[in-house]
Amino acid sequence: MDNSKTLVIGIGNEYRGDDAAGLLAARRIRDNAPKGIEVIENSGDGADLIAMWAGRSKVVLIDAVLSGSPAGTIHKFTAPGPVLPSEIYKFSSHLFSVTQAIYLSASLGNLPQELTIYGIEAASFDSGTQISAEVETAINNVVQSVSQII
Amino acid sequence: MRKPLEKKAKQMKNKTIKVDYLARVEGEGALYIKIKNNEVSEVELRIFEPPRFFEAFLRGRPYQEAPDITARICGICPVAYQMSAVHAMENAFGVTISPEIKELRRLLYCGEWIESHTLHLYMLHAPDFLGYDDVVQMSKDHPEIVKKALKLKKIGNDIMNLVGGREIHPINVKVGGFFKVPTRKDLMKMYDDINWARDAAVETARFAATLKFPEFVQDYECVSLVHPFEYPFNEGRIMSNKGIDILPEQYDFHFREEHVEHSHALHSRIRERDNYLVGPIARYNLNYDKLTPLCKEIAEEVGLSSECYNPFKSIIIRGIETIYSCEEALRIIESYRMPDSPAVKVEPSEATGYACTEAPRGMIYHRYRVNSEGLIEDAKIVPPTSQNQRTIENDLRTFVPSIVDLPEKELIWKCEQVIRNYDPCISCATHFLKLDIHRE
Repeated sequence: MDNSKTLVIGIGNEYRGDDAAGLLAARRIRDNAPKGIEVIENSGDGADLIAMWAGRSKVVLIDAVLSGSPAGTIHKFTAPGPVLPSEIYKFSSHLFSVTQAIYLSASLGNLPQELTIYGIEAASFDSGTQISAEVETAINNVVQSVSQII
Repeated sequence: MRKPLEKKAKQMKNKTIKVDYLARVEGEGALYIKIKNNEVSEVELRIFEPPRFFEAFLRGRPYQEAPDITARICGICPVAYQMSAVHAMENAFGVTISPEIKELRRLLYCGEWIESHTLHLYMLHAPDFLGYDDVVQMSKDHPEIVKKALKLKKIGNDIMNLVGGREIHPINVKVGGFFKVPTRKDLMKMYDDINWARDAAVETARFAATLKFPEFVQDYECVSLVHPFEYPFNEGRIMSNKGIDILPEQYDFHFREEHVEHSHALHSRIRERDNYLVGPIARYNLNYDKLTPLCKEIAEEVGLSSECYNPFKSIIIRGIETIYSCEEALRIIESYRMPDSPAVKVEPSEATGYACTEAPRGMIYHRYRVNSEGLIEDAKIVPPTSQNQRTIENDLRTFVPSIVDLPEKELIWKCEQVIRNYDPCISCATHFLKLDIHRE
């Protein structure tokens, strides 16, 4: 692991519909990533996220969210920030959520210097590998946006 | 930090307790308790999320896909799901694997038990005992404990990564063996870390034993795999302390699942009796003699005998099982011989296969019927949380009268703690879960 490399983490479950958004975005970023970029896929275990990003200078995290916004809406946050919209991550199927990981990492003092989070508003988390059209478009937009900041 | 239990609420004879959201359990669930004349008249652990239909999703898929698909049922215990699928398919097709592959599979379980037990013990359960809302708060007062926990958990993940190819949903496992097997040199790279982990696990068990436990003992029917020589991971007969002694093939004759109106998860029962317990306490009680000398020494040191019936003390047993997992991983690495071939050849046939393995939170049962083309025609998966659901409700029924006079917030907290004794994986049980407690 090279801490000077920018790390992109895609989170999701590819068998739960739009929940795969983060994974798909990460794969597309990997396909076109310039040198010095590391891309990891993860299912959202918060404790592991801390281990991945501790000591890093720049990390981008992409995950599907459900906040009530129209499907395909892209939410972008940076951490540590004044307010973290924990509510929109509450449908994580993992005990130790992405949001908790950020708070815990902040408490332990090992957050990356720069952590950017993209949340892609999902339409459906139904079983299966079908991605909704709005989310498909949003994934491409996030890939483009991330390529500009890495 | 929660306030101390400084005052008791005015005694109420009738009340209903609702907890709308269960924190720190996998998924989302709700709890409903009705109290009449200080007796618990109703307890319902409600599971809301519609069933995942994984069993339906498997129908029509090639048998080779079952391990990868079932691994997605749970991000915390994917190994137990995919390994149960693998064993069931091998049972169906009469496949025998080499001792070297068997050892590697046990190593994969060691990784899963270390990471899952550590996550639950420190991040989800310890805050209950220490009076914190969650591990984020706990980390402010005990940063070194939390950092050590994260390191210990990561070593479990690293083992899964090395053997399974990926820590969360391992992809290296296949029916008949593995796609690729590690060299001895690969495994030896982890040796020092696992040595550290064993010592950290000993400290973990000692730490868990310092917590304060309610005097609460239940007469459980403990159900676990039992193997003649091994603490059980993925092989053995299904046994209980009340007389069950069967092969996984006989599971459906002795256990049944029933739908209850208040939950989307099916409830399991022993056909001729009632509810039962799976998980660390059940395994420990039925397999104490298979633990290592160090595990027994630490168990004795922290005041555990060879049996335990206090569900709150499951946190200590998770610590003991973490020591076991580290020692077993070291043993496997020390004696490792790289298999000649990563997998044996598998010829599918029209057959039904059965398997049980031990997930960190308890026994899992898988059954598959496969047709002559190797396509899955029918699948049945019984996760540990379904099996424990009635037992969790029974614990609440017995425990709540002793705390009924506590203020609302403390009462709810204690009820949640009872549920978390089981490390329930509600995603596995169906799933997401929410919790409600209500007083009348």
